[in-house]
Amino acid sequence: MKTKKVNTKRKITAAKKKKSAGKVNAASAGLVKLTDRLINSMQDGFAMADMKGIHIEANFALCQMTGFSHEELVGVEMPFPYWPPEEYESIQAAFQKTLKKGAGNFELTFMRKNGERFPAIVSTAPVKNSKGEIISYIATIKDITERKRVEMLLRESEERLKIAQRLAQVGSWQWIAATDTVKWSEELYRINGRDPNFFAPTYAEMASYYTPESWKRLSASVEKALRDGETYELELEMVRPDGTIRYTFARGEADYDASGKIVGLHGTVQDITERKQMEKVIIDAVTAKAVAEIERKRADEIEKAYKELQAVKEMLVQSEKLASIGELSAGIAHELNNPLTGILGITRYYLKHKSPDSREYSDLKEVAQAGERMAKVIKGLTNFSRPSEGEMQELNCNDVIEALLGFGQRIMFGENVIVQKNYGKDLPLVKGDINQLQQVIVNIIDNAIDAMQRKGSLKIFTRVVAVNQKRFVEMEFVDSGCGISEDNLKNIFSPFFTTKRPDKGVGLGLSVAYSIIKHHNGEILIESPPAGQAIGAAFKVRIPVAIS
Amino acid sequence: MSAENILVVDDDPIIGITFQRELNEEGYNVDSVVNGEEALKAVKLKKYCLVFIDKVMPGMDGIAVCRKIKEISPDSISIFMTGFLDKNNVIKEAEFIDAGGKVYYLYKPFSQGELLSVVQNALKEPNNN
Repeated sequence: MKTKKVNTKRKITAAKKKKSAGKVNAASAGLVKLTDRLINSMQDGFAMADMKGIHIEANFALCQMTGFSHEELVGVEMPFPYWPPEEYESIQAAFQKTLKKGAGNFELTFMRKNGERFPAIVSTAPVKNSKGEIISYIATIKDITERKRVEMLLRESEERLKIAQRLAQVGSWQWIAATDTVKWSEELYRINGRDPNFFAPTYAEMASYYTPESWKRLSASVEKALRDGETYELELEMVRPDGTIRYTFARGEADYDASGKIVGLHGTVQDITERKQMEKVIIDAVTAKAVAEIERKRADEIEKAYKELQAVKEMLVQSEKLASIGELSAGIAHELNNPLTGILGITRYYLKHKSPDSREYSDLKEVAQAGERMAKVIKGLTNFSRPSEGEMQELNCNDVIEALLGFGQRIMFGENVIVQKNYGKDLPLVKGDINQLQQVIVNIIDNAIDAMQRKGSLKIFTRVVAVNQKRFVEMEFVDSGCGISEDNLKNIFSPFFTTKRPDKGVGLGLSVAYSIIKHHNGEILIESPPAGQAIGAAFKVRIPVAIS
Repeated sequence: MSAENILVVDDDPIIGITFQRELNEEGYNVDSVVNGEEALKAVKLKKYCLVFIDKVMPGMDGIAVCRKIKEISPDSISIFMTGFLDKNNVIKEAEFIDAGGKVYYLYKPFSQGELLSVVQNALKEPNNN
């Protein structure tokens, strides 16, 4: 907009001349000068306009504020250069208001010469002559840019505090003793389930805000804080107007004046209900898990105990069965040995008297061989039913195995069996018959090699074990063979039980091993995964440690 | 005194026959009976340097037979055959020795060699002559 430049200087001069034409005196001239000085020393801007809307005065502060020079402002018609075009309406409205009411305070937006807008508080007033007629208007203009900025910062930080309180679910409060006024933060109202538009409760009213037990603790702590300045931290149960309980963490401390006198309290209240609930959920979950774990363990133990009981029962049945088979075998062996002695002796006699070319000779040879086979079976049965006392001496099981393996390892295992020896160090001695123990080991190894079809690995371990508080030396033989089925496992120690072809054995090897180990007060155990798995079977022979 | 007469007392006659077949050729004369009573009769009729007695027999048992033979023919050596060594046997053997007999281990079935060595060892006993 084009501003109309008027030669105000001349006018003012003319006015002065007019005045000086009347009662001109030095005093009035001095007053004008003083007024000018005062106006120019003002912090706020000063503007004056006449009734025609012409800017007739502008002080130094206004020029500074707007960036326009004195010449650019004085003598200019409305709208003035520092009025932003978009604000004409509101500025005109303020001006009209001043016309009607005589004075006013307005917050308006003005413009600097560089186009920058700024907020200003404008106070307007009419200037009247001695007759009471309005001759001009004056206005003071306060640039409130800085104040606005600070206000905004404050608002922002208050907002931030509010957000922080909200996020942390922490409310704050302050109580000033002198005026008995309480101030609550918005979040504290929210925590209490109350309307922030109401006044904060008085101390007496607070009693109903908590469960009786919590209030008892809180009031005691508050009174102590007031009296001794002692800070308190409490977990409380708060009651909302709708009756729901919130768990809170309350903290309070005393405020002091310069002389160290307690003048009030301030504090925070944190809503920890969710945390409490989460804690409870976690505790419940952990407890439930622990209970389940204990129950599972108990069930496992019961099952284990039951299985052990079953195993012991089976072992008892097994050993009873084996014992009765032993008795029977002894009887059979005895009864068969007499006739067999005759058969073999007499056959041998006649063999000596027959020509080797004769038919009788070859027939008798068959009889003798059949008899020898019978003798072998009977010998095995005899060993099973009542192994001979043998020569009991103190033995190191490693030596027992090593003597055996060293003697005929190649012959025993063939080329395709890898033997891994894992001897325990410093084995205690056992009491036993070396020949019988070696027979046991031979029988077990024989079995293992057959199970592997003479190809695979045999691991031998020796170690000390404790079973029912008794110490044993354990020799373990683990093969990589075909394993043993559950059914076969039940019968494995029974005499004449065999899975081998008839020409390979009569089924006495493990029976004899069993009875020899029983005779040594030891144990013989078999662990086998289900048949078909390539892990094979583990035979464990346990001999009691000799008590020296 | 005939060093070659041997008596076998066993309830199973085939044992006697076996002794005969195995020992006759070696120059021993073997008679056999199947119980204690017959054994005593035989000892009264003939002098035997060795009497093999089975441990389990119906009627008179081996120990009683041994004792009686000692009375009738103090020079005869009674031999108790046993194949096992268990508690019961040890007791029996002790009783047998008490009754004046000897204990030899002869596992049935035995070979001719085993039998001969038992016979020869028994005949070497210092109190035999």
